Amino acid sequence: MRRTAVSQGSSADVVVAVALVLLALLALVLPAAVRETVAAGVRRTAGVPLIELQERAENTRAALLTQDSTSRVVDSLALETMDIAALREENQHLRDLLGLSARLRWGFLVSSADFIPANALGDRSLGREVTLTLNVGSRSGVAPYSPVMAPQGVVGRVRSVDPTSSLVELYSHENFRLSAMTADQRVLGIVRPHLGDAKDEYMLEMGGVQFRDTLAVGTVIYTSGLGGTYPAYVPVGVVVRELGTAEMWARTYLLKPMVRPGDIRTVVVLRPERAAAGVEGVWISAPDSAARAAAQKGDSMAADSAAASAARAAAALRQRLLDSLRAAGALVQTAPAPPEDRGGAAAPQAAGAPGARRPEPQPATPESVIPRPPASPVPAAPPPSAAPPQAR
Amino acid sequence: MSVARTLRTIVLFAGLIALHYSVRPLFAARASVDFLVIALLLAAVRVRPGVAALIGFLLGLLMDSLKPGTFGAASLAMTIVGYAASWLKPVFFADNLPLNAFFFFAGKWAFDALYLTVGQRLPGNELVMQLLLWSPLAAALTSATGVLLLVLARPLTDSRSP
Repeated sequence: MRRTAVSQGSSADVVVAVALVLLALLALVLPAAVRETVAAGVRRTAGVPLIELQERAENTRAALLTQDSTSRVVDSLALETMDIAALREENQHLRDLLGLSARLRWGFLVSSADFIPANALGDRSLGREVTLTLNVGSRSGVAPYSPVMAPQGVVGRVRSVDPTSSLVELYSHENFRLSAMTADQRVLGIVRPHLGDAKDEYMLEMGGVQFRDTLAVGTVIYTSGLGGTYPAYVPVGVVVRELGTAEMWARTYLLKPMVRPGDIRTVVVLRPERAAAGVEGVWISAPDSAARAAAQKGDSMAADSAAASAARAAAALRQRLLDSLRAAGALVQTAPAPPEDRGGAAAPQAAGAPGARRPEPQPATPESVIPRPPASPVPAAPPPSAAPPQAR
Repeated sequence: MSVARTLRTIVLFAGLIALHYSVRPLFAARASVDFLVIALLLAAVRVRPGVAALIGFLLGLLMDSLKPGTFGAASLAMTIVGYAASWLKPVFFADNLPLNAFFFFAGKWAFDALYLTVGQRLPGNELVMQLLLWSPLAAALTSATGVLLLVLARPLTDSRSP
């Protein structure tokens, strides 16, 4: 049987309930300071574990909410980290380009380089990058056969020119040829692409090197300027090793190019007048080239001086010999006879022989007398410092 | 009520209070489950009205200590809800889940109404919106959770269990 709601609870319960309600109403009207004091007391006693639970729950919720954003931040940082290496490389490339531009100073164009597929041009060397397009053309002053280079060295030459774009033939093109040399101009050769296997892709080879000349591994090869397209002293590549060839009179060396096609981003196109002016001092520092030129000049002067001294000494020796022979009466003059005596006295006669007609004295010159072969070998030419002997 | 069942009820009561301060902040929704009201109602149907009022007063005091701006409002509301729940337990306390669900729903809604009215934290329109929209939603969630806990905890709190 259900008990009525009125009989639920005694009067004591009612009194307690009323008292508690009054107490709660009193708490509502208490001053703020008193309320805060009571609240603080509850928080510092019974509320400590509950507050700690709530704080942990709030932190967990905050962590869950920021997990997505944190993951996005981490992912973006990871992507940016991956790009950092590329950005650093591009930064370094641009710095190199700025340095090259500062050293060239005039007569060049800067262009970004884009590759077009080789098969689009019908090139037979499929899979190799052999051409690239530039965003500068005839309107900017680009001319056919203009040399194209990167801060590191030779890239190729302009093959065709449009008003706003140009097509460049890279050094990897099968028709590429370049006259090259070492920095000291001691060794010359012709550079062409090395059409080898995949691991030697984009390598170059320098052929026509005379057999007596050898190149050490690591030697830097520069353009020689002899072909007329590229100015001298532009880096081409570095010697890797010697290649075996069927030629017995010349050597061929494998070169690692200074610029890889995949690393080409921005290039410099030299105008014809700038190429004609030369680029000495741009890749090879000016003091080195000037000192080399001075040394070469000094060497040639010394060589000339030594040759002249040797010639003077030889002339002086010959003169002495002639004088001594003349004094001994052993000279036979071979000068042509006068017209009236041409028929009778053609044969030379030994000087001093009885009945021989002594010829008219003629001024002795080294070119007009034939002395007797000396009994002993002609002595060596005196050193240049020796004073010429006095003529008797 | 045996000592063992009393202890189980106390443990359940403490667990609900812990859930109120650990699980409820994880969601921080505008309409969320009120585990304190569930704990009060579950305790109120097992004690005298006076004791239920005292339990409600203490729970309300705990709530007010974390919100000093409305100090006393939660105590008043929980005291009244606890006394009323214990006083009306013969009407609602039965093995009828829908009735128990309504019990929880009414208890939470009544608490919100008293707390918001006495606390005076919301202006007129917002108070009406809170009482007519968000409070019923919270009451529904609280009711569903209460019924679920009641079903799960029935072996612990059943009067027929030792």
